[in-house]
Amino acid sequence: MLRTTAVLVMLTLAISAGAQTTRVEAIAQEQEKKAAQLGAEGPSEAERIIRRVLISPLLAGGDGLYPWFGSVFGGSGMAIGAGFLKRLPNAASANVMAGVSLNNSILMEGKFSAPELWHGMLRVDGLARWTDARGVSFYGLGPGSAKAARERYDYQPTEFGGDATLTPQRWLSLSGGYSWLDIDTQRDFPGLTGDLAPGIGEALQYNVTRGTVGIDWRTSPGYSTRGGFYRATVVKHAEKNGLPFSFRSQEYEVVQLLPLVREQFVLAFRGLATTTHPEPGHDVPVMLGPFLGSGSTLRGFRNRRFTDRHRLLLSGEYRWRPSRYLDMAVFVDAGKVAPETRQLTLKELETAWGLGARFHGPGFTALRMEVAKGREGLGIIFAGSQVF
Amino acid sequence: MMRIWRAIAVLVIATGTWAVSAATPRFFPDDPIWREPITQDVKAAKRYEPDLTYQTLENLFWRPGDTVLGQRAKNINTVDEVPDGPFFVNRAGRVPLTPPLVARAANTTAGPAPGKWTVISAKSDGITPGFTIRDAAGLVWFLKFDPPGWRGMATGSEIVAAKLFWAAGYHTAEYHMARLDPANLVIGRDTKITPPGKMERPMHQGDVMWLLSRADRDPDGTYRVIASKATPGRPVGRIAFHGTRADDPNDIVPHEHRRELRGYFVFAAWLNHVDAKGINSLSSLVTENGRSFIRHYLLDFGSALGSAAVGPREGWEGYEALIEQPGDIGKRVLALGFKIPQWRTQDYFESRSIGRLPRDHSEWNPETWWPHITNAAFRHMRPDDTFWAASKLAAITDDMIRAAVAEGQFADPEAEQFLAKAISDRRRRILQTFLPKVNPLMDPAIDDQGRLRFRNLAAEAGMAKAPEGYRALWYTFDNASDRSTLVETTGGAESPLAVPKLPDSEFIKVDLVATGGPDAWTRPVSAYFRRKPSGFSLIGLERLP
Repeated sequence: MLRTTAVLVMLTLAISAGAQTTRVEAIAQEQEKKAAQLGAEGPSEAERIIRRVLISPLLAGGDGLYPWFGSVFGGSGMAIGAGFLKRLPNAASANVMAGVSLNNSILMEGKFSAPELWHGMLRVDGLARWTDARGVSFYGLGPGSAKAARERYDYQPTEFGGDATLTPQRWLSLSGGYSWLDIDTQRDFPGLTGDLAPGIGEALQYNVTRGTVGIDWRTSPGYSTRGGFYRATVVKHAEKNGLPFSFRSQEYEVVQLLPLVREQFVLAFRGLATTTHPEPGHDVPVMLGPFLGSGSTLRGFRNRRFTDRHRLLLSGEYRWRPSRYLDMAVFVDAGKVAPETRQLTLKELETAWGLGARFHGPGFTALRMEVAKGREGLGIIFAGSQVF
Repeated sequence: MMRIWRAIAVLVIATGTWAVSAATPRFFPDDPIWREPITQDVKAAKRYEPDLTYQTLENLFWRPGDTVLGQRAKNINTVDEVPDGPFFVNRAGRVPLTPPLVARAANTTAGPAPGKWTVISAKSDGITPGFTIRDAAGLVWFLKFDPPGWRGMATGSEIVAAKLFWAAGYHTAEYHMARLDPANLVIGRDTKITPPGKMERPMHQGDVMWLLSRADRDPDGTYRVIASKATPGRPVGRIAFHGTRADDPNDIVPHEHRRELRGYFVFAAWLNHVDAKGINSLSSLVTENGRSFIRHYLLDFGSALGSAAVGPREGWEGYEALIEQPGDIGKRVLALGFKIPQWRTQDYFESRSIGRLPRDHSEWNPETWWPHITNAAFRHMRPDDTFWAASKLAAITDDMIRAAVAEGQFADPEAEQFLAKAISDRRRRILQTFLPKVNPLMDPAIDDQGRLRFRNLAAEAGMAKAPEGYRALWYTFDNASDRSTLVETTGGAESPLAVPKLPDSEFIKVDLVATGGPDAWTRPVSAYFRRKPSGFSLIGLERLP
């Protein structure tokens, strides 16, 4: 009987061994249970996907294939494509990309950035670009062109060139460059004649030389809430085949940003003037001449709505910042094109106004959406860059 | 034979009863525990560095962790406190702290040994430069700098925050202010660097000079640096603010339910540590007393107080999350900008030595403070968690704060004085906000004269008026069934209260409420006592919001 009882007591203890008598034992039991089911610490599937996206060259600045979104040519609509970036020693890189737009315009481009020189003060870049721009609008020359007069032409420039940019100070840059430019245009409509549309239908080849002086004390060219940008550019297009389309052009741009209430508001102003001067007996081909009407010049008018030898554009924006990543703006654009520089006055300006939203990071604009109203109707703008 | 079967039947019934009651008692004999049990060796922990972008997106948009909010913290002991463990050690309010102790904090050495310092790696990808060096004594240190023109700001802020987080109870690294003479830097034979946008290659002297060109240099050509000693053990990752580590058998409480990680919000708000995210921590596999386990450290406080590491704190930091609330954005869109956030209009104290902070903290609201990213633990925080954190802060005195600030060696008396006052003022605002939010009665005890003593922490700290009185509802308590039976009610204007004649029960429960005070104080604090030969000892405390 005694032995039986002893066995039963042992049995009882064995049965109850799974229960805990102390807090520490209770926790220890949980830990023991987990010890039997350990896993590996590591990224979830979602994190793996994000990591893969982040190491794409587009986001990480590394080597490899990347998707491309942008614009082939002003007025051709959104474009998509792909590129390949190869990083080389000492900040050099090679980048090739190709894209196609909604209206079948095509862009192919290769860029090479040489290794940095003089501690990054001197940058040398090479470029090769071929564009097949379809259905480029032309309304006729002069400020009085009619909306209904729109004709379209196809435009195929091929360019090989290089630029050197010296940046002795962060805010000062001096750049110069050369391009070989070949232009082939095909008109869709026989109504476009050489007199009305200089350069259309010609096979032009240019030696293009250019120089720019810029002072930029904005925090970033892609997005800023303070500072200013002042630029003067001269370009010479020398036609190589003896055709009468050689000309010089100058462009002056002033951007001033005035922040208020710790940048809750920004008053932004821009002035842009472009003049072209053909050699005696020559003309400026319309596809290379100044124009107004686009997502960044005289919003509210169609792309390239006004074209002539010279242009003047004034813009003012009242920007407010509901978020650090979203700016809203009410804007006014006013501008004109003119055949003579003396006609670039503040009289009889075309005007447009509108409302915009800009999604941005600290130094770049990712998406700009705007609705603009001009005398010819409403314009809706989607762009991947700041207007100025 | 019949007797045997009867004996078996009795034993089985007895066993069943014991097993059930033993499995479900409210209190165990060793309650309350003050040390988190670590009973398993961590054998196979691999290093996992979470991706910062993923963590940011996850917390901004996917809200990871337990979806049921409002749950009580699950790692607290039975008296509503956090036991010492891998994340936290009770210091303020539990052990006697002094200003010199706070100033010393985690330090066990005098800093990097003088002599040649060998660079074994460099931080070139981030926005602030940094080196990992091995000093003349063979110890590994991480060196960080001030940005050019902001001498003292990042280094001083980091050291002040580290000392105060240590005082609060978190594991931190050893931090020292030190001086780097470039002539004493030697590049290790195998040291490599990956310059931004470039490929990895052996490091050379030009890289050192390039990195140093992004740091503030003193006129004598040396650099003020903050040196943090490599934490003991092997790094295995960072603190996650939700879930548990899959490879740590001791880690059984989801981190969003750990009170010290919920309460981290309060301390981060106090020190404006807006960058309180997983990447600014380190989980290390250590072996102590023959047991291998993972300990979690808070690190990298360069974006605390008035510093944003690379420059002064931006005005929005601390007032808004990395991405603002959609409702706020919508209102500001419609208001054409005239709904102006407070941070854009308030006055700031700005100084090269401490950066930028609001000038006046007397009206600062810790409840509206925002870190860059709100994690799961912060989202699960309840008023009893914030009370717990505030109770720790109540034990950190102005003298301790001044001692910590002095460690920042800002060399700018006006700024230093301002910073100490700002930290004190923010501490006061935290106490004012969080102590009265729940019933603030603490430390109940039945003394040897048979009276119930307790503290009203909110009134004691001067953060609320004392209530008109207190009422105690006395119960007998059955530990096995978790049932209580009301015996009597006593009351009085202040502590101590009379203890009624109680039945001869092993467990006593007392519900303590304040009368004539804030509504929240009418929700009882439940205290549980075990009768022992030496008297009653507190074994349980529940403070429910």
